Amino acid sequence: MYSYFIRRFLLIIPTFIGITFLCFTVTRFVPGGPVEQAVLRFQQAAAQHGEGGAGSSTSTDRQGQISEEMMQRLKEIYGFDKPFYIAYVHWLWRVLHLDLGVSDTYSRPVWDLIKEKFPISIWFGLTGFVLSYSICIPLGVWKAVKHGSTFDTASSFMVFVAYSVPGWTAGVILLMLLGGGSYWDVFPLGGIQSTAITSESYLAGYLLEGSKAINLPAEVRKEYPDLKDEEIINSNHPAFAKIPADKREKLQKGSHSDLSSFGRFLDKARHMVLPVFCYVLGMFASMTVLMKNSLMENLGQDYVRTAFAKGLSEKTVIFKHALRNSLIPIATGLGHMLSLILAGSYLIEKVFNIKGFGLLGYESLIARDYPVTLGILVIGSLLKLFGNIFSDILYCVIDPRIRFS
Amino acid sequence: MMNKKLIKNYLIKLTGLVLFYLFYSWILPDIGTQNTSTGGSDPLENVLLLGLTIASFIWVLPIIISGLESFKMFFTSPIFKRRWNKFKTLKRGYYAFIFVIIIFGLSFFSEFLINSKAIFVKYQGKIHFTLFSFESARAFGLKGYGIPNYRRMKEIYNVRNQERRERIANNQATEEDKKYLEWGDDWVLLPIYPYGPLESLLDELPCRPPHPPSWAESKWRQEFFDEGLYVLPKKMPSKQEIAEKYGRPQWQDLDQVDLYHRLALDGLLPLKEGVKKPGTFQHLLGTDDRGRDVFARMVYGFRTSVSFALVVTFLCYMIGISIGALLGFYGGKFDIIMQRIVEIWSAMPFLYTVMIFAAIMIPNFWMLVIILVLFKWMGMTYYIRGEFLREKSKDYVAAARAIGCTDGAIIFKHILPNALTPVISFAPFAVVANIGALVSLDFLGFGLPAPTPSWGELLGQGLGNLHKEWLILSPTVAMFLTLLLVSFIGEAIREAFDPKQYSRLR
Repeated sequence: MYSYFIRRFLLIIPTFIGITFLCFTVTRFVPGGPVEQAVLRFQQAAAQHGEGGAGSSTSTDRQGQISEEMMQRLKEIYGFDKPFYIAYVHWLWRVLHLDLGVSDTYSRPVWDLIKEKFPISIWFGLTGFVLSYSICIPLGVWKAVKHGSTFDTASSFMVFVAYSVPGWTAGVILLMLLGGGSYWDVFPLGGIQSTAITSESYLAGYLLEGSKAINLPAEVRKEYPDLKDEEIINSNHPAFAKIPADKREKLQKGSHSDLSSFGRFLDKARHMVLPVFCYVLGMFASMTVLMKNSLMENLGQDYVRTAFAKGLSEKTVIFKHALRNSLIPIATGLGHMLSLILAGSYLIEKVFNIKGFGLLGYESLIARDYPVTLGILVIGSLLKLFGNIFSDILYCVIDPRIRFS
Repeated sequence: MMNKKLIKNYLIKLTGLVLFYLFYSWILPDIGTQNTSTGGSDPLENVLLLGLTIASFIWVLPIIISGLESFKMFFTSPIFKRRWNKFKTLKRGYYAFIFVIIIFGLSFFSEFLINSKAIFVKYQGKIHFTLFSFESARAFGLKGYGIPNYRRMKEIYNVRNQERRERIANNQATEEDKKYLEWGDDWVLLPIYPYGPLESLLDELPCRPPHPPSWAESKWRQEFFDEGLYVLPKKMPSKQEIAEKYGRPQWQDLDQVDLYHRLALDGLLPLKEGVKKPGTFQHLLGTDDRGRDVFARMVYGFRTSVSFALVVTFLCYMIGISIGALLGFYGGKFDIIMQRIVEIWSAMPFLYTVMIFAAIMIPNFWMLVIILVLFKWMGMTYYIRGEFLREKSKDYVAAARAIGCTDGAIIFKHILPNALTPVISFAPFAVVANIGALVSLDFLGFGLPAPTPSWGELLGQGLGNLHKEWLILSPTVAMFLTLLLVSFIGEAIREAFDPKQYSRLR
């Protein structure tokens, strides 16, 4: 048993190397990489310079060419001067030291970028995940108990519909209907919080008190040299208490940070409704069917027959005996939670313009920002690998009958 | 007996060579041109590729044929007939199956039904079949060297025919006109829906793209108003005029802009000269942001998506079945090692890896198929391996072995026909997943290359134009219906082929 899990953990190493090596190699051998892009940028700059200057075509041709040393230098900057397997070993070595490199587009360490974006995706995905569990499990149980009834058939049709609409496509339709285009303006178009709140906004009532920084007493202002005179500080600012009471007023407009904590919650919640709905829709069909089939299977087992035979009520049999056992496959799905969330995030974050993990990966692919692409691949595949093992462990913990060997 | 077998063997190899030649001359160059940097300019590489392909065709084809034979055995077995009859009784799935087959079959003739090219053109007494050939406009007596606009050609021919008839009636016939008496009139036979999926209609339609569906009167009026294509009254109409001329007394107090807007939306203002409104059924679903007809793109997109999903499913299953069969049949060390490899392979984050490959390679149809198959073939191996493990220990296999069957014969003739149930019952759901994958990739912009008609690309345009409903609703509804029908089929097939009997106690 333990040896099985040790073997599983050891298997992570070749798997990880395999995945990253494959993708690393692909990024190496295909035209349009960072070096070519840098060359292109240089040539465009040179051409523009040429047009602005003398404007003769011969000189631009000369300027557009890149000398041999410069090419060498560029390759060095982007690490393309070594053969790909050596470069891969170097890359892997740095990854083992938790250094994912520096992003070409953001000029920031990849690790910082991921750390910044990851919680956003997890927040959205996890809410959707919890919500879909709390909808699908009762629904699946109810469907199994009422198998063959009108309710079962009707909800089966719903399951079919949900199965045929991928979550993110529903997101586009919902944005069209509820995003304030030509129909109702119920939900924002995307993002995670409002950038500007005007006095007409329904959130205006939750704006905090505030004041211009110039109203601060002079001795306090010295402590905050960054504040400009016209800058507005709200009551969350540490210096706000020093402002005389008559200079304070209720803000008429502001941003997300000018809201009271309830207002901030409301704002964030409103931004979360549609994306979370899409996450739920994406998992709804398979989860409900899984729950239903699992319970149905258990209800046909001998121990259920025994429980009935000894005179237990139907309620006790179903909820105390059968349900516990049929939750096993659902519970083990928890192990795949993170990788499922991430897989959904690429599309849903693109639709709702949520600047999270998935959108970062998508944009890095568009911009050919390979350090970020590979960094996201590393995190994504590690999460998936550990998730697989975690769900196996869960299996063993929940169901002692199961023995891996 | 032996001779017959040998001859059959050679025949198969010969067909392999012929098929290989066809494959090499049609499909391979297609792949080669896309990827010029690795393409075969190197002679050694070419020779190696050639050798590999010949070998694979000569050795793999017999296996495929045996595989097909075992599918034939599966489909002709009495069990299959019984299950098929069960499937027929499940009306929802059965009708969905027939409907999808018919629609998919029809979509292969969409060139004849929905196309900007004419099917036949009769010009100066000769009938030309123009659907698949490139004919210069000059060849049909029009100006220009490019592909003629056949819709306009039809109009021009009608006018010319009319003029000719008048000339003949007035006895002013020229030499050519006399010839036409013999030839008969020119005509153009257009498809039912004469707009193609790739053709931009910018110079035929007023306003900017995307154009609304041509039956959506109010949307068109709004577009015309936004573009300033209405002739506005020179001066503000008086209250009396509003009431009498336009018949809208309730608008007497509106300001000028608002009034004109409402008048335009109610169709009370004349259009400027030369602005032509499209006919009601001209563009059923409007046009996309490059002015291409959405309905045509939807239909061609259906064909692409479904064929893509079928091809990917077929290839995945072929690889999955062969590997699963080998694993289950031989077992031992080979099984253990291969299983680990399959496990490693399936630990890849599927969508992101495919995104990386597709983003970097910019694939065409076949390359995208290969990329998807590369990361998706593992699913079937587990089921087939399990089936083989179970069937291997049964008596009929021992009997086959006792009468001296080779391993190949046992695998293909005896076990495989008995192990195909999961293949049949999972296939529709795999098709659903693959259609979804293609649409997602197209939506992200990593799918099929640019002008290919596709649902995902249209949906991506819709996301950028949220108030253009036809761009969003057309692909989503089409996808929804397709996936719904296919999953109805899948459900029925599963119920007929792999029924789960639930016993309930009360």
